[in-house]
Amino acid sequence: MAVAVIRELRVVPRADDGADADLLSRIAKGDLGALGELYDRHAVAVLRFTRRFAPHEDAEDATQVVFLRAVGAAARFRAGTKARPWLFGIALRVLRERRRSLARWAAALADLGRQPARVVPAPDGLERDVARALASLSEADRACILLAELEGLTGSEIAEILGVPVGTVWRRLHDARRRLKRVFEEKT
Amino acid sequence: MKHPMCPRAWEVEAARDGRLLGEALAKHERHRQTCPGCQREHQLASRLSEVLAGEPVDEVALRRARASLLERAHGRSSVRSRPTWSSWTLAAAVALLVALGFWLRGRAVSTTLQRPTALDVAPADGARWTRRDTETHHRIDLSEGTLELTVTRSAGRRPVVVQVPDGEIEDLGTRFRVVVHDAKTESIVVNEGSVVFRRPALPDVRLSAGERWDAPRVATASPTAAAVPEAVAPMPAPARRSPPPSSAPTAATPPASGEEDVAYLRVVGLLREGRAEEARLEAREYLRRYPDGFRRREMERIGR
Repeated sequence: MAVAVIRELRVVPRADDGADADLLSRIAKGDLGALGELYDRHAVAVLRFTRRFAPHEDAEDATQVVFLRAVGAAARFRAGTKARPWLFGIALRVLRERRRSLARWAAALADLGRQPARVVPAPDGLERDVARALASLSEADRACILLAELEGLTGSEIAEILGVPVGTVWRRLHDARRRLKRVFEEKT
Repeated sequence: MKHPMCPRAWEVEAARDGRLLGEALAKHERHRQTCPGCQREHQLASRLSEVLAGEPVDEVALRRARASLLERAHGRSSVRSRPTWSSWTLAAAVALLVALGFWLRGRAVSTTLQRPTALDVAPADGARWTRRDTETHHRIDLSEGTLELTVTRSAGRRPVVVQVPDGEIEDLGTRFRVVVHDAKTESIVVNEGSVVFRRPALPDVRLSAGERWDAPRVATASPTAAAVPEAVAPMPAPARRSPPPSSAPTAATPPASGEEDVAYLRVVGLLREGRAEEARLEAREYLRRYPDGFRRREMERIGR
């Protein structure tokens, strides 16, 4: 019973783009209630995305930072575009910045002869193998496959987020799928 | 069983990416109905989507993060105003104080070491717990036993979150006690400040100083035993200024209070089940056993 309830809560309401634009316009005017609504609509999707790039709690922090950045950038949001891809674009920038700062931190610690603990608890079986295969992809390939397969974004939406031609997105998707499918084929 | 690779297998991916449209898409779908190789490709791609979703998102953690986000956003918006000469003066004063702080720190390191810690944890009853501090909050994972927590807000503004097997408790104040037994939160007692208890698919429970929360239990005293609902109750002893953490558990929860709670909750449970007559008798029993009980007035009303 409890499991059923939790699964129900996982269902993400389909975002209404017009309502998102209205929310972002209200956020730009300083209405923080609208920020709560925007969070309710997209936090699950953003967290699901960020946690494929960062350990669990880092992903939670990164998700918060994404929405904080959205507050600052709300005034620049173009009406007529979709909010969710826009948030993923912010998420990618946040993740890159955090990775760079982590790399600097790791280098500083390595100088002291210590390594930072960045161990992500590994799930079992297929999920673990897919997580490994996913982690072995380049950041751009990983972003492509997650945005396409997990979030259902189109090639052109992903291209806009990553700032690359749509053909590049399709090639990256193909490469990523090929590597991930290999894991499935080995398991089945 | 290994299927031969279809030369049109690439269409599966193209269809998923939206590269096949109109008649081309329709042709592909017709072909897929009859081609085992393409069916397998399609199944693999669908399975991949499912696995990529990973484990379910922790809805409780999301709710906490939401509250924290709004707090942070509010903090930012409230300081975002046009700088004036007074704010520049203030900034200069702050810079001066920071510089002074560094200078003093260099001179008297021992003084800074004596500052109170943000979080003091006193385990009891063989508590199994761990502590992790992140950028945004201090996190305690309690799987079994009792923890008494004292939070000194002045030493750090990061919230303290106690992860329990069936939810999480966020500290909004200063001192509270949590008991976990058999993978369930048994009770929360707040001595100072307030906490919020969040669980999946259940409303948040907010407890203030002097209040306690007990998990629903099964009453065994009567043959008509029923599961009694959970409740927030005021603590029997005055708790605003209670003794230090080590002695707090006994001071805050004398043994009789638990039995009184159970008796009260039994009445509530009977009322909820529509068993008014039995509830009336139980209320009278409560009054007989606890003539000065905390729910005396309520029980008198029900017992009439």
